[in-house]
Amino acid sequence: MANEITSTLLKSNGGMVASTLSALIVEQLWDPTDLRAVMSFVPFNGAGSNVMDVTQDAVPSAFAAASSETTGGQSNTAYTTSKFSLTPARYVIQYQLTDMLPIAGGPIDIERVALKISQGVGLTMTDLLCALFPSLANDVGPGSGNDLTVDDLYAAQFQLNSSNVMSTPEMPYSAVLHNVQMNDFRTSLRSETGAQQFQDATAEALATKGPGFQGSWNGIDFWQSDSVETVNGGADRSGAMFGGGCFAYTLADVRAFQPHVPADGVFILTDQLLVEINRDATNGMSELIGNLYPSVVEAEDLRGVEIISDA
Amino acid sequence: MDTIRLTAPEVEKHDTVRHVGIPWGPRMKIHSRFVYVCYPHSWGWDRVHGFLPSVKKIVAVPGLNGIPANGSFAGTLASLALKGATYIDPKDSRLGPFQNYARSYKVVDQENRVVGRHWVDWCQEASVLPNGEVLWNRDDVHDKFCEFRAKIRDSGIVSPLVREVYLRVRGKLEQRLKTMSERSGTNPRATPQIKQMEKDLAQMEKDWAKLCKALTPTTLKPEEEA
Repeated sequence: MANEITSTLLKSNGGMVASTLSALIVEQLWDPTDLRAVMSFVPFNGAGSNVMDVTQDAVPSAFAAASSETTGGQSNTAYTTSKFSLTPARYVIQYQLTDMLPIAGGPIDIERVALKISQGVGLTMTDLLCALFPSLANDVGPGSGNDLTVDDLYAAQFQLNSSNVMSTPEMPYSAVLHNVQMNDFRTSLRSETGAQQFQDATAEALATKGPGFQGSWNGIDFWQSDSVETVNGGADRSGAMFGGGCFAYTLADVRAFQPHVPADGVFILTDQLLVEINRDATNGMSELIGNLYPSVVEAEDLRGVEIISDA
Repeated sequence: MDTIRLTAPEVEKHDTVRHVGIPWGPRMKIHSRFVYVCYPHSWGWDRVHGFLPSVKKIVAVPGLNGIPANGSFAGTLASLALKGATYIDPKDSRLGPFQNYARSYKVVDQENRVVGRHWVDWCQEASVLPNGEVLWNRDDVHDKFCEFRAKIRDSGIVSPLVREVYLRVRGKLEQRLKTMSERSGTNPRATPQIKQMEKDLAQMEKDWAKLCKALTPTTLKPEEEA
């Protein structure tokens, strides 16, 4: 038969379109791990400097026997403090949208873009922390190019215990591994027998500890992040296991420079993140600029150990 | 206006885009400039190259460990030197062929504009697939990196390995061997690994003996009471 009314005909002549846009938006794959939960937060007090020193108190000393009951005296015991410094630097991200977007009625709008900016805060802090792992002085691992095993996690735990790093139920050791390291560890666990089982993260644990938390094993909390860096020419990944107080971070209060920004230029304002909106009326565009002032530091190197294994 | 005749239509030229760098994508992490330091207690062992100093990477990321906005290492390296670390200067001529060990690739966007630099070790190579995926040569850099560490050891940039650190490195392998031996009854795949570890221990002792012949280490001895 002839003159059928087909979709091809209507798309060509009018009456149908090639595709329509669903109102549903789905996420692409990304790693939402936010490792602020494993760091100590230090509020930044900008009292005339962009560098803030945090004092680490001296360790107590045991008493020494007096050399005599009546004479000899006593010399002073040294009171040795230490410090680490937090130096916030400006971190920024910018998106620019045209006015045609809302006119065309698409689902990507300025609110959604602002949400992406706020989600970037956790990613930034995770990247900064993972960049510190290769600088830890102590390391364990199966040797360059070899897969991570349960023995290496034990070695890391023993190293921390030897350094008197406490692990308590409130503040257990944390192990941050790359996805590949985590896979290798789970593979190695399969050949283990005994009462120690890997307890996968429950929904409650994920809600408390945040995304990226994998579960617990042998009293150690495990986190996974694709921000864990490569070392040894890219052959290996550099994860870490550490106790509480190993790493510290700050996010300087961005409300301090709010007077610099006109009131109608502020899109999002919290104590950690300021998103400004900048209008380019001539070209019909609006910029969203996110501002962050983070700093991450190794507070005490001995509280952590690097875990190096095949990438 | 007079009549004109056009007889030479232009051929449309196709623009060929040739990538000059690593294509940037939202999941790509651009690595910052870095240097290496070595700690006197941080040594490892390799079957081919023997005892090698472990290198620790210090990255120039502003806000990290005191690195300022201009990315200067000065303050950070000074505090690490107080903790006993030895700075491996990329420009040190003693490194020989490994001078300038930190190098970079350009990172480009979809319009082929350079948007940054991705810092890597000199031996890292990448294949960029037509779909933009980047594959790194992870599997064949181990030996090259060991040669770099051997050069650091042999050039005198770092202090030689001391006996106590050698014993610690050997002790780690002995512990691993012991643990593996205890489980060999339930895991038949452990047997070849145990044999390899025993060979490695023997080789380690030979490598240490070789090092001892070459060096005269200074070790403190306790003083006798007068």
